[in-house]
This record gives sequence, C-alpha cells and structure tokens, in this order.
Amino acid sequence: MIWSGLNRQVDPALFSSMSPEKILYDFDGPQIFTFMGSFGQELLAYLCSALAGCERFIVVPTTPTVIGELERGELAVRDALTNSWIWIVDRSYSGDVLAAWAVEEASLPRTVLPEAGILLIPPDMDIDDTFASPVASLAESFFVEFHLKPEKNSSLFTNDIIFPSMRACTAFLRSAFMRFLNVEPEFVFSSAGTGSFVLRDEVRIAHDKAERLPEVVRFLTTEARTGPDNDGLESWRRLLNVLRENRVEVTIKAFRNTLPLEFIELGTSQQKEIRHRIQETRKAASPDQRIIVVDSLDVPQADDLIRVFQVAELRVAGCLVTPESLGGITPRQVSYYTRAAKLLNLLDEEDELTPGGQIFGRLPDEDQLRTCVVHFESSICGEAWIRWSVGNTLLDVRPESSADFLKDCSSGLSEDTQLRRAKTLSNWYGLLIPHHYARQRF
Amino acid sequence: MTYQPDLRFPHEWSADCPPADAIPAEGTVFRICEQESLTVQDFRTYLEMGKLPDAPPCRRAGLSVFRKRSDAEHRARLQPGFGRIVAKGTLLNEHGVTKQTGRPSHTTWWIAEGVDRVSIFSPDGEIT
Repeated sequence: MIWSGLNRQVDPALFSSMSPEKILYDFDGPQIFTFMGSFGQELLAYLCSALAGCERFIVVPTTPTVIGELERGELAVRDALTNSWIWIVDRSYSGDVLAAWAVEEASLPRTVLPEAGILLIPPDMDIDDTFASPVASLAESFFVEFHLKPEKNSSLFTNDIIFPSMRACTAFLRSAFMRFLNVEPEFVFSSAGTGSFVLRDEVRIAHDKAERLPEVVRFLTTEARTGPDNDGLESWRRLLNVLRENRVEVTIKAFRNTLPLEFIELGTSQQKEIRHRIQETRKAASPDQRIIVVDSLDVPQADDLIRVFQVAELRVAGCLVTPESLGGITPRQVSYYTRAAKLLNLLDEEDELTPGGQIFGRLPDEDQLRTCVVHFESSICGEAWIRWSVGNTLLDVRPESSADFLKDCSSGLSEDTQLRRAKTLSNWYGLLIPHHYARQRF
Repeated sequence: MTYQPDLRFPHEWSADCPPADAIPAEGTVFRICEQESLTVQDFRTYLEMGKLPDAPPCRRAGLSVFRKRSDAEHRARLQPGFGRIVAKGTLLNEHGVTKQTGRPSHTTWWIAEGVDRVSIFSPDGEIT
C-alpha cells in the first residue's frame, strides 16, 4: 500500500492520550473508538492498516451527535471520517504514539477507508436481536448540510464569520421554499463538525413537501447557472453579499436520511458568476418591476463621510488603510469605512480601487463632495431611497424620511440598528445636498 | 466453567480466563484474512502480538470470529485494509471455549493449547 500524502507531520503529543473512551467497533481489540485529544477535543479513531510493529489510525475530530448517529446506523462510517480535517496516527503495539500527520482525504490510499455507505452495524442485523439498533423504526428524515469554508488567504474562521453566513444560508433556503412550494420550513439544528465548518439541519415541514427538498436545491442550482429571475433576485443577492462580506465559500447539500441527493456549490468563482448574472437581470428589468429591498450590507454605517473619502485617498497614495491612518479609529470601524467606500463604488469587492475611485482619490475636497453626490445616488441604497421617495435625484428625498425608508425597505437590520443607520444616511444627506449638481445649477 | 476439564490453556493467563460463562467451542465461524494462503499470522491474538498491554488481559487472550458470514463480509467492507478473504472454520469442543462478546455475532474464541488454528480454517471466497 502506497502512502504518498504523509508530508505534513504534526506533533505526536497531540494524540498521546490515545486510549479508548468509547469503543464503537471491536475485533480482536478496539478498531473504532473515541478518545480525548491532548487539546481537549473529542476524537474518533479508525484503525485503517497494520504496519511492521505498529498500527495506523485515521483520526478525526468528532462530536457526541456524530457518535450517536454512527451507533444508531444513521451515518456511514466513511462520512464520519471525511467530514473534517484528517490526521494519520501511528501507534506502537505497546500503545505509544510514534508519529502523526495532517492529510487530505484525496491523498489517502483507496483501501484504507470504509466503503461508501457502510454503517457501523451490519445491514442485515435482525431487529429482534438483543443488540438491535433502533434505526429501522425511524421515519425518513430530510436534512440539509451547509459546508462552509473560508476563502483562500482569508483570516481565521471565527464565530463572527460562521454565524452570519449560516443565518444567510438558512434565510436563503427558506425563501426558496416559499417561492417554490409556498411553504416555510423550519431548519432545526442537528449536528455540526469542525474544520471546514459543517452544520447539519433537519428540514421540519410536511413530509410531502420535505420530499421535494432535492427539487428546491435543483431549482436553485438552475438559477445559479442561468441567473435568478426577479422573484429570486433579492434573496440571492442577500446571500451572496453576506458570503462575500465574510469571505466564505459554501456548499449546500440535501439529504434523505444519510443518502446525499442534490447539492449547490457556491465557491468564490461561482459566486462571482451569479453576481454577474444578477446584475444582468437587474439591468434588464424596468424600474417599475424592481422591488425595493436594500440589504443591510448596502446601508452605510460610516458616519463620517470625509473619512470614507480618506480611504480612497490613502489607496491612491499607495498607503495602507489602518486604524492609525484613518485617524485613530478601531479596526471594526475601519471595516465600516472600507465597506462604505465599496458602497460608493470607490473600491471593488476585492478591495481594489475602481477607475472612479482612482480619480476620486485625487480630487480636491470640494470636488470630492460634488462627485460623491453621483456616487451615492447611483449606489444601491441611494438609488433605492430616491425611488422609495418617488423622486429622480437626492433633491427629491426628505432627510427625515431615512428611518421610514429603512423600516420599509431594509432587510436584516434590527430596529435599533435601523435608527443608527438612518442617522448615518441623514448625516450623509446633510453633507452632500449643498453640493448637489442640480441644486448648483439653479 | 462448563468446558471440558482436560482442555489446557496457556499458564500465563489469569485464573479467571477464559471467563466462567464461556461455552465449549462448537460450530461454524468466520474470520477475514489477507490472502488465500492462510498463515498462523492470520490467527494471532493481541496478547500473542504484544498489542495493547494495558487492555483487559482476558480479552487480549481471545481471538475474534463471527458466527455469521455476512458479519465477516461487513467487517471486510468496514475495514478494507485488513483483507478481503473470508476464512471459514468449524470449531469443535477440543479447540477451546467461546463466548458471544459483541454484536451481533461477534464471538471471542479462547484457543486451547496445542490447537493448530490454520488447519481448522479454509478460504471461503473473496469479498468483491
């Protein structure tokens, strides 16, 4: 057997406590069992091959839920071993851990993993057997799995990234069910894995509707390929905005029990393509057809508009945008100002200066304010505010209407946040309106 | 202990091994092996191999077999790294004692001294 992927050695001490806590499969000795890693994480060990003088295990992080599913025959052993990152651990016959490596599933020899679909318990086990599993009496269940992973070169995969992304994914699926089947399912947390974060939800809905989960996912896959129509446009845009903001890639998989059915892949390149198709759809729609929904990400939260200008100026000068270079603000505020520069189309989504941003950053203050009027009016939020006000330019908008506008049209904002963002909009309005191109003409 | 009094087990085993509720070996059993030409290596216990010295000693002294062929096949699919040849054997009382020790047909066989294990078994097909 050729092991070619063992080139990322890790500290064997991480697994030094490799004595079974719970034995899941025993033959001559423990073959599949859980143990506690030295770093406090529950781990699942699977004896995959024997070498001269030692045994080789596949070791993965696990959870009590996964172990429960394995024991009840609800999860294939292979799936439990390949849902997350993988280590190979060599243990001597005497129980000492000799070496360990971090590996990818793809680098494992084919014969060291269980066959696909094989459960911990034999499939023909007599249900009257003393050791029978309750699995045969369970009704069918439908699940969705959200596989989230950070984009390449992005930062730590923190809760601040995972939770908004998860909320956006479930909101997106719920909205798809509404559009497709006119019912709203509940997504009930079922289990989670670590590493490339995996969350499994049971779809709670009338059974005949749940059965159509694969159709819904297939429908979304088609929309991803051909571009969503007007009905689906906003829910797609909301999801993509959150994923982009958090630099997250996601795969949504539908399951009947443990059987995978359909999946939709939203990697960075797919997200970009769908975004492009959404833009095309939006352009094709007449203004009357367009519904006014502004995603929270498109509503500015950077109070000081002049500081937003500084973002473009700093980038034109080749300087980094940091808390210090923006005058001593917090790192979180830096992200607000950078986001605002994107809303105004001064930066693109890859944080690069747009052609307009290049020119803008070189302009004197007065001209920046005049130019910014157009940038704001053509932003998603500015354009929506004008349209909501049944106007043509910012001059047709009442500044005191900002709270009502956000109440009517924004999505994903709490009442308090709406009020804070409304204040930001009013501030921007107050600063820009004296420099409005149409006003100066008269 | 209910097994034949003339059966002898390795003297290094503890006094309570094999366990008192083990029964005389009897009937067909299955085990997975790596190659069709069965060798003594295919039938060594953890104790004989020096594996896991801290594990329960009597359990280490026994050899695992299945009563049902399908359970052996399941093991071959669950752990393909340990061979795909099904070895079938017929145990007799003089071969030692057995006890069902797991689910569903997993049986531990405590082998009496002097038993030629390889001769009891023969290959009975390959799992494809």
